[in-house]
Amino acid sequence: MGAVAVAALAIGGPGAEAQTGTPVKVGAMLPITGAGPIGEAAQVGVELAVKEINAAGGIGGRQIQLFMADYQTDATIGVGEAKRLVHQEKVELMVGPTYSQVTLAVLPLLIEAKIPSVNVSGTEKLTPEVAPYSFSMLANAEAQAKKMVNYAQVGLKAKSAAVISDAGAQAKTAVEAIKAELAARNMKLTGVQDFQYGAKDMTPQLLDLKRGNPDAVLLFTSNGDDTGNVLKTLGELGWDVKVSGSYGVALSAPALKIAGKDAFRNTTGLNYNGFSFCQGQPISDRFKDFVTKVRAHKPAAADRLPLNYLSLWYDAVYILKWAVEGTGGKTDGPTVAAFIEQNAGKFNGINSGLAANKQTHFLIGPDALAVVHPDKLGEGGIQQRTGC
Amino acid sequence: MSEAAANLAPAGQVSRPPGIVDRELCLGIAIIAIAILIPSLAGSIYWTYTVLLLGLYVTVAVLQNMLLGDAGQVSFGQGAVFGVAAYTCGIMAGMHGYGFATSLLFGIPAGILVGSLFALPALRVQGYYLGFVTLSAAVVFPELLVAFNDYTNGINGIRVNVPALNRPFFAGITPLCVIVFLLAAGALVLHAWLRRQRLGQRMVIAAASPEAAMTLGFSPGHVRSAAFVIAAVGTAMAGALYVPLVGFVSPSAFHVELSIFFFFSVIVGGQGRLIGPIAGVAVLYLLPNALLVDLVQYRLLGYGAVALLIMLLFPDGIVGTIAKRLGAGRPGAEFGELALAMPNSALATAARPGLAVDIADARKTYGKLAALDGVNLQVRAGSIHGLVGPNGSGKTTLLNAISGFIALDSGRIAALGRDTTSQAAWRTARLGIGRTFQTPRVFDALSIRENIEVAAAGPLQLPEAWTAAKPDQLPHAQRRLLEVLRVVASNAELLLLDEPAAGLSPAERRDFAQLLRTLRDRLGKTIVFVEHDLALVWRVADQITVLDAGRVIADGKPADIVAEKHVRALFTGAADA
Amino acid sequence: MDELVIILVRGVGVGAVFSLVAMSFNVVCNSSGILNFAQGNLLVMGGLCAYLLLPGDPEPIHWLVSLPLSALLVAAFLALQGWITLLPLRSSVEQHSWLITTMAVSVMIGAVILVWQGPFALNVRSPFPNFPLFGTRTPMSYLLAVACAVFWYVVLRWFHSRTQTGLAMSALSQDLDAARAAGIQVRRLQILSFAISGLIVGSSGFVAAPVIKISADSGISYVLNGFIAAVVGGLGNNLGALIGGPLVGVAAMFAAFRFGGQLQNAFSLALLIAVLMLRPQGLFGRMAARRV
Repeated sequence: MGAVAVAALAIGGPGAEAQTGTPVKVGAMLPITGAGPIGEAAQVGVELAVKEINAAGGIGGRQIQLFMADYQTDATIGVGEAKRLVHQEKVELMVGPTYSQVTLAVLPLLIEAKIPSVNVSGTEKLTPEVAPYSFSMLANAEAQAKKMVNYAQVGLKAKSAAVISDAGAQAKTAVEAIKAELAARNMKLTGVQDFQYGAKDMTPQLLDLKRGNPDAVLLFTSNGDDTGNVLKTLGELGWDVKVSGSYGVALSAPALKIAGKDAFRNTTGLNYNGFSFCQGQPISDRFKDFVTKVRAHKPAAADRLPLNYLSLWYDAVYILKWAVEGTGGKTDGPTVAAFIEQNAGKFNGINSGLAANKQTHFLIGPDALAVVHPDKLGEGGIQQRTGC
Repeated sequence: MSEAAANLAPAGQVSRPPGIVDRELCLGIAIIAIAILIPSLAGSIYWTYTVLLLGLYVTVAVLQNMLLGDAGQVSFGQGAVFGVAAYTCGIMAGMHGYGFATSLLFGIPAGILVGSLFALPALRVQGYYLGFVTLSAAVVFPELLVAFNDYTNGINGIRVNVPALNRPFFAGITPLCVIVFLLAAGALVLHAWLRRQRLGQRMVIAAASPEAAMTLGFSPGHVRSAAFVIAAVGTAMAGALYVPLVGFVSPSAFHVELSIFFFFSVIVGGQGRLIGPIAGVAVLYLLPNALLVDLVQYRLLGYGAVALLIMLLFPDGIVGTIAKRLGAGRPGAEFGELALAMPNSALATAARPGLAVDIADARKTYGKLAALDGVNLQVRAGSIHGLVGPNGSGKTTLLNAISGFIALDSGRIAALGRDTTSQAAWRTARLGIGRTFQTPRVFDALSIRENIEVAAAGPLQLPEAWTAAKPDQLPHAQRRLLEVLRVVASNAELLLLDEPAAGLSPAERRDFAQLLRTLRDRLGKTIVFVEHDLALVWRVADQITVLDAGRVIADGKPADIVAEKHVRALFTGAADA
Repeated sequence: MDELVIILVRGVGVGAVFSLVAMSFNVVCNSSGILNFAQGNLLVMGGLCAYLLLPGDPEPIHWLVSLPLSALLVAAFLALQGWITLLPLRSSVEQHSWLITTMAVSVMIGAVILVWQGPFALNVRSPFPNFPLFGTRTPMSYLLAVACAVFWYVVLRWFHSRTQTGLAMSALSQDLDAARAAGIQVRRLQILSFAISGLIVGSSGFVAAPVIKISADSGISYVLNGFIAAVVGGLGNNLGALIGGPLVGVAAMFAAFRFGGQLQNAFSLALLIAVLMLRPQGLFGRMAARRV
């Protein structure tokens, strides 16, 4: 408490006088509990960013007051929690949600209250018209689909492919995009299968796909557990096929524990550029710093947290700070959104080179993704790019 | 005469002075009104949204309470009914561009249809088995929404904006506030009203004992179906209003937990208590979603602990346990006296000449055991006929055959001048044949008065003390008497009583014998009764039939047969036992 | 053909876990009429014991020592849960507080796992090698789960028909009041039945740890599949549970193979409804469905 007050006094720079003392209220909508409670890393990312920003003087001299809401992966709860944050707690900025259906449900509220937000949702429906003041940090499904198919054709020289994915929302979009991309590239689709989140044994799905005898398998998962179970079953069935995977496939920490390193022999995934490396090229100090800070902030849980996903939330808070400060302390949606649309490329965070503009509010473009070997790990769990 | 018993009494005929239920009703409506008024007047958008959502949930839970507490139907699928109505409205309004009002014409019937479909498995299975079948619907519904994404917009959901209903007309009060209040209060009123109707009371009876329902002349299946349809109507209306309130429908909002939430609200509030669902919904929703939100990742832990504690402190539910403690210890001591005085000339039936029952060569076997082995029996109209015999001699089986609970393998039965050999029990009952059971079918959820009225053919003069008193305050033996009174009040012409005097004291037995005579002499009833107290039988019966191993071994006037060898053995056997 | 055999073998393995959950339901249900909703999370707790007790690369000896420990830990927990659940039920078995109390315990177990271990599944390595089957490798845990199910079936059968306590417990399932009148200590036996169900799920969670999902949110799916197995076999009947589980497991796997993984749930539930409509008492049940 004392330290924060001192820090606030010490900074208190120009332009911030008027509002110094009144905190900036920031809302964070996270799926901490419910069906698919993936909010833990998000919570850590947001808390860490807020702690750092406050220690360094806040946003434009105003301390951040953080309000967290667990929307339980449920749209009804999500709308209620968004109303609480917006109307009850009167937040000025928002990060989250993650689940697309919840994001779409709360957007009208955010638009009405003109609150700028950065979410981590991947549905293609988040156009600037639907979400004028909201930006997404997630690599969207279509960008991933293109990248996966491209690698299967160019990198793996495959002429035919089978698709397996979870039965979630993003995966469904991705599978449609994959089918379209395969057709556009004249590649043969030999089979499509899906599994429920958290399924342990994918034997029936993989046996079904194996009958089509594809050159490659395109694997779209949303978490490391599912990735691990698919690869483990693949190994048990003795099916030695090349796998071109999604961002979820690169969430390899749990997958390596489940399936072992050997299962990744033929498998690639997609990761953010900032989380990939080539042997011999230096790794940025900024990234090393980040890893150290996360470990110091949450030593007990650090090993199980996917750092790349965590960094999206961490950056989401920093993007809002950067944009608010860039507009001279304004926190209204139109001003902040216009600033981000014009300057996205200049943001310098863990993930840099952002791509949003007036046409798209996806901050992570296809170029921000790299095809990686999820088992070849560097410092802090970053992954080696293919074709180094 | 016999038709009169079958007809539903018009509303108001089953009169009932304002009692505890009405106070509960007023309290419930007041709570809903205040809960909606305070936040909307104060202009709190978040709390207005929350209480309106709770209003919809209360509506569903009140009807679930009716379904579970009154009709005894375990449905884990009401969330699917709610969701189907909401989604159909959402699809029509959000994807096909109809106005919200028009979309209601699709949404509400769709919900009612699904809710009514639950009545089909209810005809086959009951209890938690029915719960599993309906649960399946709740599990599969959101998955189907995703699978048929061409028609439902899949997992991304549908946005529907209904500004007209959300525009405040006074302070923060919107038309939606008024509608939700009317719906939730209306559900409570409906439930309270239904309980005083013949249909509501029949639900309780069919739930407690399908056999009793059939004895009283109605089909438990019909009553169950009615309960499912009524619940579906209100649930579908609430579901439709979800759309303008939340402004968005998506599969994740109608997952299986929603259905379980509705069911649990009833349990936590107090099953069968009118305002129980209000307490249940408030605790189960507000606790984890509003009061504990600041716990973030510890929210569920706190929620589980509090829910556990509440159920340990209030095992009959919050309202149920409180009401039980407040209302404990009302005596029913004078019941016996009043009961014997109740039958009056208003319940008289015209004397019928000839035979009330005529059974020829009735046979029924269970496996190798012959329960009825060629029984012939004639019961004179307007007489008291005793059936005696050792255990397993076929006495109860014979009563079951006359009342239609079992079908004979062969033989014929005529009762009250009709052939009833292969007639369903509830049809037989409608001819004017009343029946009591060894284990009395008494409904603790109803008052003593209602227990009698439920079968009544017309208005009854009943003691005031019976209006509020519940049968669970009566000694066991008197519960049998209550069942006899119910059969008498149904204006049945033929009464089949199975061990009606078991457990009565000697003094009560004398009074009971007098009651039987009154029924015969003043009201013109025919009575067939099974009884182990041979002294009582010989004292009161006009004619006695002795059964052994499914055969008639003696038949005649008490004085005539008492000397027979078989009968003497019966007496000594009884003395030995 | 090979494919179908592989699916059959693995489906039976997965189903054996459902059988075990179903048997643990039966034990408690027969003695008290209670269906313990926490049973799924308690299975996960057995798996969690394996995660915590076994080293990263376990030897069979570690496994043998930890197995009874895990069963006893979960049994102790369940005895406590049973005691709490039965606290308000002194007067009647008609009242429904157990629905909430068992669900609340389940929620709390999930919440503790979530806070303590995070949202991701925990992975346990088996000390036993996979066994070959038509050129594939199949986890030994599947075979062990089947063995575990048969073991508990035999033990329960012996217990209920040959021991004094078991006979008394069977009497409870026939008629609670009569048992009480006959001087049987009902409460003590009911708590014992909770403990026995704990031994079953504790040991099966441990044995099947490498092939079940050990996480905060996976309990409910084992509850649901365990119920389906129990009801398909005939609630209360352990032979039914033993057969019902593999039936559900194989049906779900076959549905995924033939029609796609998305329809797995719908298929198991369709099986449930079909059985209930055609034979409400379950394949091996004698108890009338209407009565429960």
